Amino acid sequence: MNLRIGAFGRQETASMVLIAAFFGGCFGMDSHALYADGNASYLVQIIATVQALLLFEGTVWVLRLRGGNDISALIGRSRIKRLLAVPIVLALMLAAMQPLESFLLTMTQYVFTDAKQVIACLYLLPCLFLLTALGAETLMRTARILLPILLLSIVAAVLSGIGQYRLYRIHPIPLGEPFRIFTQAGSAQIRAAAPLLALLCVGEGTQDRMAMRSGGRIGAIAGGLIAAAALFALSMTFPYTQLVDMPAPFYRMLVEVRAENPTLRLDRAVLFLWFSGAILSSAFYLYAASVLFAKSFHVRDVRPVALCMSGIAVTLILVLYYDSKTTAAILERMYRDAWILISVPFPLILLNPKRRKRCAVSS
Amino acid sequence: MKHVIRNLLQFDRPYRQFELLETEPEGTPSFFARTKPRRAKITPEHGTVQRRLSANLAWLKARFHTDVNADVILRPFKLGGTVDALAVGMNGMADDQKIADFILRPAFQIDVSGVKTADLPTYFCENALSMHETELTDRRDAIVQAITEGRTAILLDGAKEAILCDTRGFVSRAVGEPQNEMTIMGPKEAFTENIRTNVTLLRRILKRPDFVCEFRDAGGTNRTKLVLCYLDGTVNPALLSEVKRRLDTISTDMRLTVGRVEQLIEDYTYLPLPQMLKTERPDRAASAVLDGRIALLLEGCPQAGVLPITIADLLASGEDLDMRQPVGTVVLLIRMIGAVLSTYLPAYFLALALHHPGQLSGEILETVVASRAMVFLPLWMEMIFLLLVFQLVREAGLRVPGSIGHAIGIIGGLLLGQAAVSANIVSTVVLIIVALTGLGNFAIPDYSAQVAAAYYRVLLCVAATLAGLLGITAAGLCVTAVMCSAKSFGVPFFAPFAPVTKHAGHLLFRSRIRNRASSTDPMNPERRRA
Repeated sequence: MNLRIGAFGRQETASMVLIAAFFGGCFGMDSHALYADGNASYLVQIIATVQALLLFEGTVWVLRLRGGNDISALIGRSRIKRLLAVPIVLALMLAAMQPLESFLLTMTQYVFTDAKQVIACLYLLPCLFLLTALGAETLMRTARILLPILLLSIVAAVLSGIGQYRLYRIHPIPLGEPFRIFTQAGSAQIRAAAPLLALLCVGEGTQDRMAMRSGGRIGAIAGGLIAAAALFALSMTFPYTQLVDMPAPFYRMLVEVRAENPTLRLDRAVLFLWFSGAILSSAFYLYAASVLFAKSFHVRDVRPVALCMSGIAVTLILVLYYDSKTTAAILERMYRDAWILISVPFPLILLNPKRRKRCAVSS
Repeated sequence: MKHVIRNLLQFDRPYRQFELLETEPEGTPSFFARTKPRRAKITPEHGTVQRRLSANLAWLKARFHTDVNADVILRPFKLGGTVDALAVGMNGMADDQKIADFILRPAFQIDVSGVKTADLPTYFCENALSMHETELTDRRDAIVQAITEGRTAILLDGAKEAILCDTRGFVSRAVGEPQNEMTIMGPKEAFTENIRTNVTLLRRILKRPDFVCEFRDAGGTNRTKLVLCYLDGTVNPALLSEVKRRLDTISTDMRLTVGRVEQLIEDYTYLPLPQMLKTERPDRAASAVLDGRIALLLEGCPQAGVLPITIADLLASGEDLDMRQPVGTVVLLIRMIGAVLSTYLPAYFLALALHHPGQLSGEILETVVASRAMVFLPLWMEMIFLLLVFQLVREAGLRVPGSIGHAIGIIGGLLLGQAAVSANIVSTVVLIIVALTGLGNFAIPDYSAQVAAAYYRVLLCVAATLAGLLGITAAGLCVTAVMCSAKSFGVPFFAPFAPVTKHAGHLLFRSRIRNRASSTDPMNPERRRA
């Protein structure tokens, strides 16, 4: 099978998980729910990370018992059991859509105010296609290359806003309702656990199970903490009443800094740097979903599946963007704008033979 | 009248209408004129040497086309005054003085009476030929190869073997200074076109018994000599056998050079970055060999190909390690900044000016607008035009001899730029951006990497023109991912940074010289130096 997983070490694994965890935590959040009653986003992030780590450790423990390296070992080979892979694939696709949707909204609201999102998606799609088709090894190495620059930009963004931090803005902390915080953390699981879930799908590429566990653990903890720190900085910059309806508040923080220091006009460049991190994490999720799908349903080449997944994810983002309420409206939108995106990858997967004929081996 | 009628009625066409393409053996080309790559047919020389000298003479005359080929010297003589013999050499390739002094003179003086005809070649070698390198062979292909290399073949009547004597004495360039990899510190020697000289240059640096120089044919019909230089016991055996396997697949009619061999054995045909480092400095090649890499030397090529390589090698210079650590780190950083500027600066400027003008301060924006007030070209076209002019000046400067080349650079840089601004073809701001880009480009030490940077620069400029920073992000991510996926003979391009290996140093910071002992890790050598 041509799954293009390759081989990657702990640092690459940790870098990819860190980037995915940070962008999921910081840019994929649901502001309405998170800031409805106060400002506990950073607590929610930490709790969600801990929950995700517990799930991950549990899965790795089960893998050790069952003797497998990735999550497909836990999914049986029978037809019924293979269907277990479907919710995981859907969850990963959803996780892939979240940061992209968030960034595209930011872009159309702050950067290209006159542009339609479909135009931005047209630039996004080839990039996603390429990244997912190149495979896990490339994704991990690209993450390792990008990580220092991304970390530098995040740290610079957090530090540059120090002058605007006010401690009183974190009030009220809804500690009186711990159940609510845990509920929010539970709902944040899709973005906190997704990097580790994706890693479990491509675990075959790590040196062994322990390397996968170590890389995942380091990446998730570091990514979760950095995201929590960024959210804490955000909480001290804006009151929660503003954050409820604010798209991409972390970028807004940069814009605020720029307003005070007009010489530092790097906010757009930093935004697009972060955007590359978001594309990378989305590609990671989509690739992991494709690998799981290909393994479960015996598709011999992962590339057509990856192309389809990317096309579907971008199409769904477009559909969400138009905020269509009815199926008819969704179909209408899909027919009008997104048919190109769907019509390209689907024939590819249909053309790909599910099973190859076995070659006669001559003695 | 007669001429007109003859032209009208003649069956064949006059000579002036002769067209070489119509005689193509493969027939009419297809609509797109594409054919499958043709494998060069290598017909090996079969057979062995005959006992009769006349038969061997006839074969040699036919093989070397001596009726029209005046280069081949067939010198008949009598060995010891009794046995008919023939010395065959290539004029200009073989040294006449050596043939006269060390072959013909002893041949006339030797006494061969009482020696069996079959033993004559061995007897002649052992008792008369005062040459350090002689070889007995009965294979015709070996004789042909030896003669074309400049050696002399001696054939004796009645003997089944020929003697091959090393009489090579062709003119070659003396060892000079490197032209393209000039350094302030370090040795000043450069490779030449003579493969023997090049091997000697390496051997003078690597004085160790495990340094192996494996001579072999590079493949193809021309049978160019190639030397694989490596440290036995240090180089990864898997890498060595893979390189040999790939070299064995070469089958071409072309004259082979290091650059062509690289393209014939590489993995990624469409990657703009080189997958083999081409250096003209023996010290650099020797350092690479010590690191567990393989150096390729080709006959007639004044460069060595080093493989495998990483991106750090393309940004490294031969004298980096000669500098002190802090200074070396600063130089490396400057080089890296130059590479990034050279690739991204024009695209970033285009993105800001065309799509995100709010990111430029009011003063800069005013300057840009004022300088472009009279320029009729759109900004993106102006940028692409100037980048093209820069490449033109650079190529022109490279292809003309030294002092004129420098003059072209000055004329192109100063006069042309000034004239273009005065004529309102380009603006001063764009000129400054392109000049900075050019400077950054020259900070990249490797020429192939400089050209690759130019390729990516144009790609990013197009992306920036179309979608501003979004375009740069998408294109930049694609470029980075493709580079991350690439490998040079199994070694990832971004090693030891991604994947991380045990190494001394960094892509950005030069390590202490004491820690360099473990720098061989990305090559995964057999003997790791801890």
